[in-house]
Amino acid sequence: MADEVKEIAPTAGIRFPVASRPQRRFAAAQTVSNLAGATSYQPIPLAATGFVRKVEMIFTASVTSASAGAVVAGDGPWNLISGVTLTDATGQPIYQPVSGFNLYLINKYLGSGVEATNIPRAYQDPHMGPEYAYASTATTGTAVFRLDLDLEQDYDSGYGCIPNLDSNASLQLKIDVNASSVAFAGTTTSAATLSVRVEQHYWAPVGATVGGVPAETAPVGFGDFVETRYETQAVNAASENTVNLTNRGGLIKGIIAVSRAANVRTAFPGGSNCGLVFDNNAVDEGILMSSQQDVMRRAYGYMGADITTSYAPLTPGVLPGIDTGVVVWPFFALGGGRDTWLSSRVGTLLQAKLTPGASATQLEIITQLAQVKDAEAFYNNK
Amino acid sequence: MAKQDKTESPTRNATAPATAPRKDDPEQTWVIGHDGKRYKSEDYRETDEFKGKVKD
Repeated sequence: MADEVKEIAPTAGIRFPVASRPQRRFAAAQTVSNLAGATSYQPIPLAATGFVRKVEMIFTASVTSASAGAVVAGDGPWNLISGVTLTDATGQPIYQPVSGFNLYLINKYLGSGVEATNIPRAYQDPHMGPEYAYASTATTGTAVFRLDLDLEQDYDSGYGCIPNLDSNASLQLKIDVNASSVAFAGTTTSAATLSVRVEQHYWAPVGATVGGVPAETAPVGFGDFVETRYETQAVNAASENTVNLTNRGGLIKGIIAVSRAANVRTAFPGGSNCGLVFDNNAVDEGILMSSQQDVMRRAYGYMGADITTSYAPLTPGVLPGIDTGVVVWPFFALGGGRDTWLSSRVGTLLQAKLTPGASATQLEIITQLAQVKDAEAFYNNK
Repeated sequence: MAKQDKTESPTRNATAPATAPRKDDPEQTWVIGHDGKRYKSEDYRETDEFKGKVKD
Protein backbone atom coordinates (compact mmCIF):
# COMPACT_ATOMS: atom_id res chain seq x y z
CA MET A 1 0.00 0.00 0.00
CA ALA A 2 2.85 2.33 0.78
CA ASP A 3 3.99 2.54 -2.82
CA GLU A 4 0.50 2.92 -4.15
CA VAL A 5 -0.05 6.31 -5.72
CA LYS A 6 -3.44 7.90 -5.97
CA GLU A 7 -3.90 9.85 -9.15
CA ILE A 8 -5.81 12.98 -8.34
CA ALA A 9 -5.62 14.12 -11.98
CA PRO A 10 -5.55 11.02 -14.14
CA THR A 11 -3.58 11.12 -17.36
CA ALA A 12 -5.63 13.00 -19.91
CA GLY A 13 -6.48 11.90 -23.39
CA ILE A 14 -6.88 14.78 -25.80
CA ARG A 15 -4.06 17.31 -25.72
CA PHE A 16 -5.06 20.71 -24.38
CA PRO A 17 -4.46 22.72 -27.58
CA VAL A 18 -6.62 20.23 -29.46
CA ALA A 19 -9.42 20.25 -26.91
CA SER A 20 -9.28 24.00 -26.44
CA ARG A 21 -9.32 26.80 -29.00
CA PRO A 22 -7.32 30.03 -29.36
CA GLN A 23 -9.72 32.92 -28.80
CA ARG A 24 -9.55 36.68 -28.44
CA ARG A 25 -11.54 39.22 -26.48
CA PHE A 26 -11.71 42.96 -26.37
CA ALA A 27 -10.64 44.11 -22.89
CA ALA A 28 -10.68 47.90 -22.70
CA ALA A 29 -10.38 51.16 -24.62
CA GLN A 30 -9.34 54.39 -22.94
CA THR A 31 -8.13 57.82 -23.95
CA VAL A 32 -6.17 60.29 -21.84
CA SER A 33 -4.89 63.78 -22.46
CA ASN A 34 -1.14 63.98 -21.95
CA LEU A 35 -0.91 67.62 -22.97
CA ALA A 36 -0.28 69.03 -19.50
CA GLY A 37 2.02 66.28 -18.28
CA ALA A 38 2.32 62.65 -17.29
CA THR A 39 -0.83 60.74 -16.48
CA SER A 40 -2.21 57.20 -16.20
CA TYR A 41 -5.02 55.16 -17.60
CA GLN A 42 -7.55 53.79 -15.18
CA PRO A 43 -6.33 50.35 -14.05
CA ILE A 44 -7.64 47.75 -16.46
CA PRO A 45 -8.97 44.49 -14.98
CA LEU A 46 -8.77 41.83 -17.65
CA ALA A 47 -12.05 39.93 -17.62
CA ALA A 48 -11.83 36.22 -16.80
CA THR A 49 -11.39 34.39 -20.07
CA GLY A 50 -9.12 31.33 -19.94
CA PHE A 51 -5.39 30.72 -20.22
CA VAL A 52 -3.95 34.01 -21.43
CA ARG A 53 -1.44 33.80 -24.28
CA LYS A 54 -0.74 37.49 -24.53
CA VAL A 55 -2.19 40.91 -23.85
CA GLU A 56 -2.06 43.18 -26.87
CA MET A 57 -2.11 46.98 -26.61
CA ILE A 58 -2.69 49.29 -29.56
CA PHE A 59 -1.75 52.91 -28.93
CA THR A 60 -2.77 55.93 -30.99
CA ALA A 61 -1.30 59.37 -30.28
CA SER A 62 -2.56 62.62 -31.73
CA VAL A 63 -1.02 66.04 -31.16
CA THR A 64 -2.11 69.43 -32.52
CA SER A 65 0.15 72.49 -32.53
CA ALA A 66 -0.09 75.95 -34.04
CA SER A 67 3.26 75.62 -35.82
CA ALA A 68 6.78 74.21 -35.67
CA GLY A 69 5.55 70.68 -35.04
CA ALA A 70 8.16 67.88 -35.08
CA VAL A 71 8.86 64.48 -33.61
CA VAL A 72 11.58 64.42 -30.96
CA ALA A 73 14.66 62.34 -31.77
CA GLY A 74 15.31 59.54 -29.32
CA ASP A 75 13.03 56.78 -28.07
CA GLY A 76 9.71 58.06 -29.39
CA PRO A 77 6.99 57.03 -29.86
CA TRP A 78 7.63 54.17 -27.42
CA ASN A 79 8.57 56.61 -24.65
CA LEU A 80 5.01 57.96 -24.59
CA ILE A 81 4.43 54.99 -22.27
CA SER A 82 6.31 55.44 -19.01
CA GLY A 83 5.31 52.17 -17.39
CA VAL A 84 3.36 48.99 -17.98
CA THR A 85 2.65 46.54 -15.16
CA LEU A 86 0.76 43.27 -15.31
CA THR A 87 -0.11 41.59 -12.05
CA ASP A 88 -1.59 38.14 -11.60
CA ALA A 89 -4.62 37.23 -9.54
CA THR A 90 -2.61 37.33 -6.31
CA GLY A 91 -1.15 40.76 -7.01
CA GLN A 92 2.25 39.40 -7.97
CA PRO A 93 3.76 41.28 -10.92
CA ILE A 94 4.33 39.12 -13.98
CA TYR A 95 5.68 42.15 -15.77
CA GLN A 96 7.44 44.48 -13.37
CA PRO A 97 6.94 48.09 -14.41
CA VAL A 98 8.73 48.45 -17.71
CA SER A 99 8.73 51.51 -19.92
CA GLY A 100 7.17 51.52 -23.36
CA PHE A 101 10.62 51.62 -24.93
CA ASN A 102 11.78 48.64 -22.91
CA LEU A 103 8.61 46.76 -23.81
CA TYR A 104 9.39 47.50 -27.45
CA LEU A 105 12.82 45.90 -26.89
CA ILE A 106 11.24 42.90 -25.14
CA ASN A 107 8.87 42.39 -28.08
CA LYS A 108 11.69 42.80 -30.56
CA TYR A 109 14.32 40.59 -28.90
CA LEU A 110 12.45 38.22 -26.58
CA GLY A 111 9.32 37.50 -28.59
CA SER A 112 7.28 34.48 -27.59
CA GLY A 113 5.84 31.53 -29.35
CA VAL A 114 8.73 31.08 -31.72
CA GLU A 115 11.52 29.18 -30.00
CA ALA A 116 10.18 25.69 -30.67
CA THR A 117 11.27 26.34 -34.21
CA ASN A 118 14.70 27.47 -32.98
CA ILE A 119 14.39 30.44 -35.31
CA PRO A 120 13.57 33.74 -33.63
CA ARG A 121 11.74 35.71 -36.25
CA ALA A 122 12.08 39.31 -37.21
CA TYR A 123 8.36 39.85 -37.40
CA GLN A 124 7.97 40.24 -33.66
CA ASP A 125 9.39 43.75 -34.05
CA PRO A 126 6.67 46.35 -33.30
CA HIS A 127 8.52 48.81 -35.55
CA MET A 128 7.65 46.78 -38.65
CA GLY A 129 4.50 46.78 -40.71
CA PRO A 130 2.32 49.29 -42.53
CA GLU A 131 0.14 50.06 -39.54
CA TYR A 132 2.98 51.60 -37.55
CA ALA A 133 3.15 55.40 -37.75
CA TYR A 134 5.27 58.10 -36.17
CA ALA A 135 5.55 61.52 -37.82
CA SER A 136 4.70 65.16 -37.36
CA THR A 137 3.87 67.88 -39.82
CA ALA A 138 4.14 71.52 -38.73
CA THR A 139 0.76 71.27 -37.02
CA THR A 140 -0.17 67.60 -36.54
CA GLY A 141 1.67 64.78 -34.81
CA THR A 142 0.58 61.16 -35.12
CA ALA A 143 1.75 57.82 -33.76
CA VAL A 144 0.24 54.35 -34.02
CA PHE A 145 1.99 51.35 -32.50
CA ARG A 146 1.33 48.00 -30.87
CA LEU A 147 3.03 46.51 -27.84
CA ASP A 148 2.44 43.01 -26.52
CA LEU A 149 2.74 41.47 -23.10
CA ASP A 150 3.74 37.96 -24.13
CA LEU A 151 3.02 35.14 -21.71
CA GLU A 152 2.81 31.96 -23.78
CA GLN A 153 6.22 30.51 -24.60
CA ASP A 154 5.24 27.74 -26.98
CA TYR A 155 2.25 27.99 -29.24
CA ASP A 156 2.36 24.25 -29.89
CA SER A 157 1.42 23.45 -26.33
CA GLY A 158 0.27 26.65 -24.65
CA TYR A 159 3.21 26.35 -22.26
CA GLY A 160 3.64 29.46 -20.14
CA CYS A 161 0.07 30.74 -20.37
CA ILE A 162 -1.29 32.46 -17.28
CA PRO A 163 -4.71 31.45 -15.93
CA ASN A 164 -7.33 34.17 -15.86
CA LEU A 165 -10.33 32.13 -14.83
CA ASP A 166 -11.76 33.91 -11.80
CA SER A 167 -13.63 37.16 -12.33
CA ASN A 168 -13.06 38.03 -8.68
CA ALA A 169 -9.30 37.76 -9.03
CA SER A 170 -8.48 38.71 -12.58
CA LEU A 171 -5.25 39.86 -14.14
CA GLN A 172 -4.78 43.59 -13.82
CA LEU A 173 -3.05 45.91 -16.25
CA LYS A 174 -1.71 49.31 -15.31
CA ILE A 175 -0.37 51.72 -17.91
CA ASP A 176 1.30 55.04 -17.13
CA VAL A 177 1.71 57.72 -19.77
CA ASN A 178 4.37 60.37 -20.32
CA ALA A 179 3.70 63.92 -21.43
CA SER A 180 3.32 64.24 -25.19
CA SER A 181 6.37 66.52 -25.24
CA VAL A 182 8.73 63.53 -24.86
CA ALA A 183 7.84 62.48 -28.40
CA PHE A 184 6.31 65.56 -30.06
CA ALA A 185 7.43 69.18 -30.15
CA GLY A 186 5.50 72.19 -31.38
CA THR A 187 4.55 75.79 -30.70
CA THR A 188 1.31 76.39 -28.79
CA THR A 189 0.29 72.77 -28.61
CA SER A 190 -3.46 72.84 -28.08
CA ALA A 191 -4.31 69.15 -27.80
CA ALA A 192 -2.50 65.89 -27.14
CA THR A 193 -4.23 62.58 -26.58
CA LEU A 194 -3.11 58.98 -26.30
CA SER A 195 -5.61 56.18 -26.76
CA VAL A 196 -5.15 52.55 -25.89
CA ARG A 197 -7.12 49.53 -26.92
CA VAL A 198 -6.43 46.29 -25.08
CA GLU A 199 -7.19 42.80 -26.36
CA GLN A 200 -6.65 39.43 -24.70
CA HIS A 201 -5.46 36.37 -26.59
CA TYR A 202 -6.21 33.15 -24.71
CA TRP A 203 -6.91 29.46 -24.84
CA ALA A 204 -10.55 28.75 -23.95
CA PRO A 205 -11.16 26.65 -20.84
CA VAL A 206 -12.25 23.09 -21.55
CA GLY A 207 -14.04 20.44 -19.54
CA ALA A 208 -12.51 17.16 -18.44
CA THR A 209 -14.09 15.40 -21.38
CA VAL A 210 -14.77 16.33 -24.97
CA GLY A 211 -17.45 14.20 -26.57
CA GLY A 212 -17.03 11.67 -23.79
CA VAL A 213 -13.26 11.42 -24.34
CA PRO A 214 -10.97 12.55 -21.50
CA ALA A 215 -9.13 15.78 -22.26
CA GLU A 216 -6.41 17.87 -20.64
CA THR A 217 -7.99 20.79 -18.81
CA ALA A 218 -4.87 22.99 -18.74
CA PRO A 219 -1.75 23.53 -20.86
CA VAL A 220 1.23 21.28 -20.21
CA GLY A 221 3.40 22.59 -17.38
CA PHE A 222 0.48 24.58 -16.04
CA GLY A 223 1.73 26.87 -13.27
CA ASP A 224 5.09 27.59 -14.91
CA PHE A 225 5.46 31.13 -16.15
CA VAL A 226 8.00 33.60 -17.47
CA GLU A 227 8.36 36.82 -15.55
CA THR A 228 9.92 40.09 -16.65
CA ARG A 229 12.24 41.94 -14.29
CA TYR A 230 13.84 45.32 -14.54
CA GLU A 231 16.79 46.91 -12.74
CA THR A 232 19.07 49.88 -13.22
CA GLN A 233 22.75 50.02 -12.42
CA ALA A 234 25.06 53.00 -12.04
CA VAL A 235 28.19 52.49 -14.13
CA ASN A 236 31.35 54.35 -15.03
CA ALA A 237 31.32 55.88 -18.48
CA ALA A 238 33.75 54.82 -21.18
CA SER A 239 35.49 52.17 -19.11
CA GLU A 240 34.88 48.48 -18.56
CA ASN A 241 32.44 47.76 -15.76
CA THR A 242 31.75 44.44 -14.10
CA VAL A 243 28.07 44.66 -13.30
CA ASN A 244 26.45 42.28 -10.81
CA LEU A 245 23.03 41.43 -12.17
CA THR A 246 20.37 41.04 -9.51
CA ASN A 247 17.71 39.70 -11.88
CA ARG A 248 18.27 35.99 -11.37
CA GLY A 249 16.69 32.96 -9.74
CA GLY A 250 15.12 31.06 -12.61
CA LEU A 251 15.78 29.92 -16.15
CA ILE A 252 16.85 33.07 -17.96
CA LYS A 253 15.40 33.41 -21.45
CA GLY A 254 17.38 36.49 -22.31
CA ILE A 255 18.92 39.68 -20.98
CA ILE A 256 18.67 43.12 -22.55
CA ALA A 257 21.00 45.92 -21.42
CA VAL A 258 20.54 49.56 -22.43
CA SER A 259 23.31 52.14 -22.01
CA ARG A 260 22.22 55.71 -21.31
CA ALA A 261 23.86 59.09 -20.82
CA ALA A 262 21.41 61.52 -19.22
CA ASN A 263 18.58 59.33 -20.50
CA VAL A 264 19.90 59.36 -24.08
CA ARG A 265 20.71 55.92 -25.49
CA THR A 266 24.44 55.78 -26.06
CA ALA A 267 26.31 53.31 -28.23
CA PHE A 268 28.52 50.64 -26.67
CA PRO A 269 31.91 50.97 -28.39
CA GLY A 270 32.11 48.20 -30.99
CA GLY A 271 35.69 47.39 -30.06
CA SER A 272 35.02 47.00 -26.35
CA ASN A 273 34.76 43.72 -24.45
CA CYS A 274 31.34 42.11 -24.01
CA GLY A 275 31.70 39.49 -21.30
CA LEU A 276 29.45 37.36 -19.18
CA VAL A 277 30.51 35.61 -15.99
CA PHE A 278 28.45 32.92 -14.27
CA ASP A 279 29.52 31.89 -10.75
CA ASN A 280 33.06 33.06 -11.52
CA ASN A 281 33.17 31.01 -14.73
CA ALA A 282 33.53 33.04 -17.88
CA VAL A 283 30.67 32.27 -20.26
CA ASP A 284 31.82 34.83 -22.83
CA GLU A 285 35.33 36.19 -22.51
CA GLY A 286 37.33 38.32 -24.91
CA ILE A 287 34.32 38.75 -27.18
CA LEU A 288 34.04 42.10 -28.94
CA MET A 289 30.84 44.07 -28.67
CA SER A 290 30.74 44.07 -32.47
CA SER A 291 30.71 40.25 -32.35
CA GLN A 292 27.81 40.26 -29.91
CA GLN A 293 25.98 42.69 -32.18
CA ASP A 294 26.59 40.29 -35.06
CA VAL A 295 24.99 37.51 -32.99
CA MET A 296 22.00 39.77 -32.45
CA ARG A 297 21.66 40.58 -36.14
CA ARG A 298 21.93 36.95 -37.26
CA ALA A 299 19.69 35.55 -34.51
CA TYR A 300 16.71 37.59 -35.59
CA GLY A 301 17.50 38.84 -39.06
CA TYR A 302 17.75 42.48 -38.02
CA MET A 303 20.20 43.17 -40.83
CA GLY A 304 19.20 46.74 -41.62
CA ALA A 305 21.08 49.88 -40.60
CA ASP A 306 21.37 50.29 -36.84
CA ILE A 307 18.51 52.30 -35.40
CA THR A 308 19.97 55.30 -33.67
CA THR A 309 17.74 58.22 -32.80
CA SER A 310 14.77 57.87 -35.13
CA TYR A 311 11.88 55.43 -35.13
CA ALA A 312 10.40 56.83 -38.30
CA PRO A 313 8.44 54.11 -40.12
CA LEU A 314 10.67 51.79 -42.12
CA THR A 315 10.43 52.07 -45.88
CA PRO A 316 8.55 49.00 -47.23
CA GLY A 317 11.02 46.22 -47.91
CA VAL A 318 13.69 47.64 -45.60
CA LEU A 319 14.79 45.40 -42.75
CA PRO A 320 15.07 46.86 -39.26
CA GLY A 321 18.46 46.98 -37.64
CA ILE A 322 19.54 46.49 -34.05
CA ASP A 323 19.16 49.42 -31.68
CA THR A 324 22.06 51.67 -30.75
CA GLY A 325 23.03 51.38 -27.09
CA VAL A 326 21.28 48.03 -26.70
CA VAL A 327 22.98 44.68 -26.17
CA VAL A 328 21.10 41.39 -25.92
CA TRP A 329 22.06 37.96 -24.65
CA PRO A 330 19.42 35.78 -26.36
CA PHE A 331 19.99 32.53 -24.46
CA PHE A 332 16.77 31.12 -25.87
CA ALA A 333 18.09 31.46 -29.42
CA LEU A 334 21.35 29.58 -28.87
CA GLY A 335 20.03 26.05 -29.21
CA GLY A 336 16.99 23.96 -29.97
CA GLY A 337 13.92 24.13 -27.79
CA ARG A 338 14.49 25.65 -24.36
CA ASP A 339 17.68 23.73 -23.59
CA THR A 340 19.93 26.79 -23.58
CA TRP A 341 17.99 29.05 -21.23
CA LEU A 342 20.49 30.02 -18.56
CA SER A 343 19.70 28.18 -15.34
CA SER A 344 20.29 30.49 -12.40
CA ARG A 345 19.62 30.34 -8.69
CA VAL A 346 18.85 33.24 -6.40
CA GLY A 347 22.41 32.93 -5.11
CA THR A 348 24.03 32.78 -8.54
CA LEU A 349 26.74 35.35 -9.16
CA LEU A 350 25.87 36.65 -12.60
CA GLN A 351 28.06 39.42 -13.96
CA ALA A 352 28.18 41.34 -17.22
CA LYS A 353 31.34 43.03 -18.44
CA LEU A 354 30.41 46.07 -20.43
CA THR A 355 31.82 49.41 -21.51
CA PRO A 356 29.08 52.01 -21.73
CA GLY A 357 29.64 54.75 -24.26
CA ALA A 358 30.88 58.30 -23.70
CA SER A 359 29.26 59.91 -20.64
CA ALA A 360 26.95 56.92 -20.16
CA THR A 361 26.54 56.27 -16.46
CA GLN A 362 23.27 54.37 -16.41
CA LEU A 363 22.61 50.82 -17.42
CA GLU A 364 19.08 49.48 -17.68
CA ILE A 365 18.74 45.71 -17.42
CA ILE A 366 15.66 43.80 -18.51
CA THR A 367 15.57 40.08 -17.83
CA GLN A 368 12.98 37.46 -18.63
CA LEU A 369 13.20 34.34 -16.56
CA ALA A 370 11.04 31.26 -16.20
CA GLN A 371 9.79 29.97 -12.89
CA VAL A 372 9.61 26.26 -13.50
CA LYS A 373 8.05 23.51 -11.41
CA ASP A 374 7.56 21.04 -14.24
CA ALA A 375 11.04 20.59 -15.71
CA GLU A 376 9.86 17.89 -18.11
CA ALA A 377 7.33 20.26 -19.64
CA PHE A 378 9.95 22.99 -19.85
CA TYR A 379 12.60 20.92 -21.63
CA ASN A 380 10.48 18.46 -23.56
CA ASN A 381 9.34 20.77 -26.32
CA LYS A 382 11.10 19.74 -29.50
CA MET B 1 2.92 73.78 -86.55
CA ALA B 2 4.34 77.08 -85.39
CA LYS B 3 0.97 78.78 -85.82
CA GLN B 4 -0.72 76.09 -83.78
CA ASP B 5 1.74 76.58 -80.92
CA LYS B 6 0.97 80.28 -80.73
CA THR B 7 -2.75 79.68 -80.33
CA GLU B 8 -2.33 76.95 -77.69
CA SER B 9 0.29 78.67 -75.64
CA PRO B 10 -1.80 81.37 -73.90
CA THR B 11 -4.45 78.85 -72.87
CA ARG B 12 -1.92 76.46 -71.44
CA ASN B 13 -0.19 79.16 -69.46
CA ALA B 14 -3.44 80.47 -68.04
CA THR B 15 -4.46 77.12 -66.58
CA ALA B 16 -1.02 75.79 -65.57
CA PRO B 17 -0.55 75.36 -61.81
CA ALA B 18 1.99 77.50 -60.02
CA THR B 19 5.33 75.75 -60.18
CA ALA B 20 7.07 77.75 -57.46
CA PRO B 21 7.58 75.60 -54.31
CA ARG B 22 5.29 76.39 -51.42
CA LYS B 23 6.97 77.76 -48.34
CA ASP B 24 5.14 75.54 -45.86
CA ASP B 25 4.13 72.21 -47.31
CA PRO B 26 1.42 70.83 -45.01
CA GLU B 27 2.59 67.30 -45.78
CA GLN B 28 6.20 67.99 -44.81
CA THR B 29 7.26 66.10 -41.67
CA TRP B 30 9.83 67.31 -39.17
CA VAL B 31 12.24 66.06 -36.51
CA ILE B 32 13.83 67.83 -33.53
CA GLY B 33 17.35 66.46 -33.17
CA HIS B 34 19.31 65.95 -29.96
CA ASP B 35 21.12 69.14 -30.97
CA GLY B 36 17.84 71.03 -30.63
CA LYS B 37 17.61 71.86 -34.31
CA ARG B 38 14.47 71.24 -36.33
CA TYR B 39 15.10 69.26 -39.49
CA LYS B 40 12.97 68.10 -42.38
CA SER B 41 12.64 64.34 -41.90
CA GLU B 42 14.59 63.58 -45.06
CA ASP B 43 17.37 65.99 -44.07
CA TYR B 44 17.60 64.49 -40.58
CA ARG B 45 18.51 61.15 -42.14
CA GLU B 46 21.70 62.74 -43.44
CA THR B 47 22.91 63.98 -40.06
CA ASP B 48 25.74 62.41 -38.10
CA GLU B 49 23.34 62.02 -35.20
CA PHE B 50 21.00 59.84 -37.24
CA LYS B 51 23.89 57.85 -38.68
CA GLY B 52 25.24 57.16 -35.21
CA LYS B 53 28.55 58.88 -35.77
CA VAL B 54 29.92 59.84 -32.39
CA LYS B 55 31.73 63.14 -32.00
CA ASP B 56 34.17 63.18 -29.09
